[in-house]
Amino acid sequence: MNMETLIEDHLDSLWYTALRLTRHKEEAEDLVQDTCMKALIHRDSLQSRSKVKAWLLKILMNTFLNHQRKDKKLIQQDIDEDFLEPIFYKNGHYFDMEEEIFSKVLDDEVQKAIDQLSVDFKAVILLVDIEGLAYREVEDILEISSGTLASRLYRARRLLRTSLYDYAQAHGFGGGEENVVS
Amino acid sequence: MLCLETRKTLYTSEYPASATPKWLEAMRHVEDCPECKSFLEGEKSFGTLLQKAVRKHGVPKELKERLLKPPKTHEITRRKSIQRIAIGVSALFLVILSFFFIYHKSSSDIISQIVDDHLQFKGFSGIQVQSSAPEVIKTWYKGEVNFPVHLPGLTAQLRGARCCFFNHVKEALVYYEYKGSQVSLFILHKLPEGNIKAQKTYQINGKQVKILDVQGHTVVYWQNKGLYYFLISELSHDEILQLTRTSHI
Repeated sequence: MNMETLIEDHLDSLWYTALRLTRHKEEAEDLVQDTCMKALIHRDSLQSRSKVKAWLLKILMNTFLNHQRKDKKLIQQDIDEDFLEPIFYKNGHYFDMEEEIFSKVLDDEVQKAIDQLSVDFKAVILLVDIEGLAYREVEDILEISSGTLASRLYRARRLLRTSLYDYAQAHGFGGGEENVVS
Repeated sequence: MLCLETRKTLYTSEYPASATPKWLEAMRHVEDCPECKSFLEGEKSFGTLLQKAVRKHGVPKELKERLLKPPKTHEITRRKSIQRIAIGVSALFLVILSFFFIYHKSSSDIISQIVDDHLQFKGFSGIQVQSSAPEVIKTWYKGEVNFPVHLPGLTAQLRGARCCFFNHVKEALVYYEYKGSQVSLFILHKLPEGNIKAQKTYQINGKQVKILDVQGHTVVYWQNKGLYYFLISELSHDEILQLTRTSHI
């Protein structure tokens, strides 16, 4: 299997990640195109074909973050989390997230909620939750420690949950006492 | 092991390369702790729900072809050139805009400056040429400003003159004395666009004369031979109007 085919297999992931990171189609196109070019040039550095997705996403992420650093847009937001708050718990109630929120909000709203995250948080959500990469792969891509990854992932998920929860409530879905599973 | 440490341990190391004693202890804790079990399952469940909710549209065919086809060198150069031109044009626009805001003054700003300058040079201070002869003053201005200064025939005592700057342009300030008060006559050859808003307008010697009240001062304004005249003093409204009426402006 040649590199072009390997890239094509993961083009959807590259495109979606680029689109969410840049939030502009033209910029996303440039980013994916740069990534593809770099992948073709540095094809020898791919150690294992089983890791091609993580390898491509690492190129994409590095290209994006280097550009961000040049523009000084990157904000570091690491907080020592307590890891105590359950994800399906808010405002004093447990609730069924799927029933109450995910089934009600539009896909666009989920995209918007992801787009609103800062780059640090967005990157971990995209790589861990959306692309399903292993923690170790993400730590390698973003060059962060396991503690930092855990902290960002924990916080990013809660920020997303809050956005989706607020959206669902604003549109009359869920959040009411009768819908709450306590 | 406490719940906090258990969650931290398992959150940070999903599948450790080797099972450490700490990780094993955390796993044992989860088996006996429904809250921690629920917490960790919730985290995984959220990730799965999120993945499902994000409907991944495939890359459109045209875009796919474009993305997979590396751009030719001249295309990259062209795109970068366009970007550079766009940045250049934006920068130029910003410079022009900044210049406009910094250097442009409205006519009302000019009138405020006239009052300020009159106060600054009160008591005939800053006088650069002292003379009661109009010709001397006119001749002196020839080497100072780049427009011919035409002095009106004011029925006040000519005392001298100096230059002053408006919008970074050198203009004329002529000093007179009338009824014991200094009368400053500013003669400008450039004035920002915009009407001078007057409290009253008179016709004197066939010219439209406007009277303005600015910061407690009466300013008389008229135009002649392409120049803009502003007369200001501490005289009362009636006195300065009388001076204007009795003069040949």
